Amino acid sequence: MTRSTIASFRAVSKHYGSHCALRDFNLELREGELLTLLGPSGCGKTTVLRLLAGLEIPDSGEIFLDGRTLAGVPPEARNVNTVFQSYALFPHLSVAENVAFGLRMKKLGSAEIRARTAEALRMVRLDGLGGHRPLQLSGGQQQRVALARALVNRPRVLLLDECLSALDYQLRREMQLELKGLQRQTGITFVFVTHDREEALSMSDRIAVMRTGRIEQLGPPRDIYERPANLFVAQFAGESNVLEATVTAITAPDSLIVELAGTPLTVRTDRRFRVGARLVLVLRPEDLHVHDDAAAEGGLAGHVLERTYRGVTLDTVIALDAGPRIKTSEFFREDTPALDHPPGQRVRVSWTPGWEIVLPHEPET
Amino acid sequence: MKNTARFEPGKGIAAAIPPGRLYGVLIYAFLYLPMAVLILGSFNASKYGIGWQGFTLDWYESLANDAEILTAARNSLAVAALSASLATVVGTLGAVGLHRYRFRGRKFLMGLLFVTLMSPDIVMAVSLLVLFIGLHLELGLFTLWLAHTGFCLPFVTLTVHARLQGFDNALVEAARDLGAGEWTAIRRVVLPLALPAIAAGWLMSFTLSLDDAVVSFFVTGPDFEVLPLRIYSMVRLGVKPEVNALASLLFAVSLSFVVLAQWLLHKDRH
Repeated sequence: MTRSTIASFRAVSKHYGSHCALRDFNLELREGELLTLLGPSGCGKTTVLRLLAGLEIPDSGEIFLDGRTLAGVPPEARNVNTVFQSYALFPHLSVAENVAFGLRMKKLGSAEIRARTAEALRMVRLDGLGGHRPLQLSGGQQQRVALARALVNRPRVLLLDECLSALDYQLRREMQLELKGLQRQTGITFVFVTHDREEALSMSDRIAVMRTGRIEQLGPPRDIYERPANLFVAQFAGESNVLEATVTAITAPDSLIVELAGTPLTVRTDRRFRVGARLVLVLRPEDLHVHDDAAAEGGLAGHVLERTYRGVTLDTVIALDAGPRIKTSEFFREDTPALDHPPGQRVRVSWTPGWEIVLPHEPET
Repeated sequence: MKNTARFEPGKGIAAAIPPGRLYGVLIYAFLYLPMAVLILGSFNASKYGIGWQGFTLDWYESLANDAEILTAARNSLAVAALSASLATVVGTLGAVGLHRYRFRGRKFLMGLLFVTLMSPDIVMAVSLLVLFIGLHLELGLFTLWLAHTGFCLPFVTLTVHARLQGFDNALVEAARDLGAGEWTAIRRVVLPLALPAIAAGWLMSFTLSLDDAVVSFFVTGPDFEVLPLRIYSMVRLGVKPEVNALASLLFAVSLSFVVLAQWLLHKDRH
């Protein structure tokens, strides 16, 4: 399904003093999508939100909303709303007055304000708490007030700035589902900023992985995780074992033989490499299987260093004979032969052919 | 019976009290005893304050019948109210400006506030007198108002500014984001939140103005007398019990205003 563009950034740059927050930044937001800006702190993701909200002015470039430029449009005149990281609830107003704030500013009739406020509070399951002060509520409830206060205005785009990061793990998982539900229910475009990859992968229609003011890759979560554009994205999107190898032969357009510290391996990739080129293999821990050395052929040989029982998975750290250490994460299944490899045991590590991620070697930065 | 030790013959009270505590007691006695004596004296029937000769409200009554004192009191309250109000308006605007906007010389302006706060009254008094004479202003209510507003201003600005510093900056951004213009955001969010500090600033200014003698002495004219100056001229002829009563009243008003101001500033901090 192709959706029309609702907002776009064209060659936008923003500096704070000498620090460059965004450089030549381009992004198209699509109608009704949940787009996540994922990246480490300081990568410029919050700046993107603040620029769209009008809380910052770009140094150069232009931002459009519904085809109209936002240059010179103050924040109060933009049909976007923000859920702030700190929630920024007005402590001197009740929950209902907080939610009604935006509607009051639009000078709507009091009957409509009351109805829409009640509806918004119901939507975030806070009906009955309208008379409380924000500080009387729990963190999760405050988060919902902030959400209701923004959504009640029916913005074209809702901007969410790391707004789940203050919640504990359990509550965060609940709110992730709830946010996703609200987004589907309202059809409003959400732009969500986070540094939590799990959050990004589980909630988003598309993810933009950012580093130092630029988008490294933009795509659906599955692409980001399974077909990362580079090593940074691969490592930021999930747990990664990174192994360096050298191309020794090209057997088919999408198949190479590489040598990993003496061990020849066949790998598949769409990328083009020349014989002798260096590359990196990225292996996700959950894609790897551990076998007894005696019972298996192929794969990579090594010995077990450490095992960690984690309930859902059994994690093993293995020192490969080739040198590097890798981490595996195996699920318990009925047909799994022997998950239990004591430290020191010789094992072989294998994976389904083609599940390895092959990336060009990047010089250390 | 641990108290008996204190009154053992041959040992003074001082010997029974730990030295650290004695030191504290002496300090507080030095600070508060004169005031206690003054307040007690205002209720003492003895005309010369020698020995307690019974409770009386006579001195307060004679204050209430003294036309000159009543005029001076009215003048003082008027100057205090006017100065506190003007200082609060200007000081609050200044605090909002210093807090909201980043501009060249902002730190310098903040520093100047402290200079005004710390500069000796006598310096301010003389310089204001020179200024008013240079401007050919008639010394009286108007010059007092300007002068008192001047020395109250930094108190208001610094109090309100400190309060604003305690807020989440995102609050104003949230208001803007929700459709409030710059001024509406200040009126609907910043001012209500700063209100306790603004009220405290007004109360502090009021007491500062009410108590001021030095600046007032220089910048008022012969036709406009304020209470501290009235007291000053009364004590030149010896401390009469009426002076005790008047000073006690001033003390009571100042104390209650200061307590109220502190309560306003701290009531919603846990």
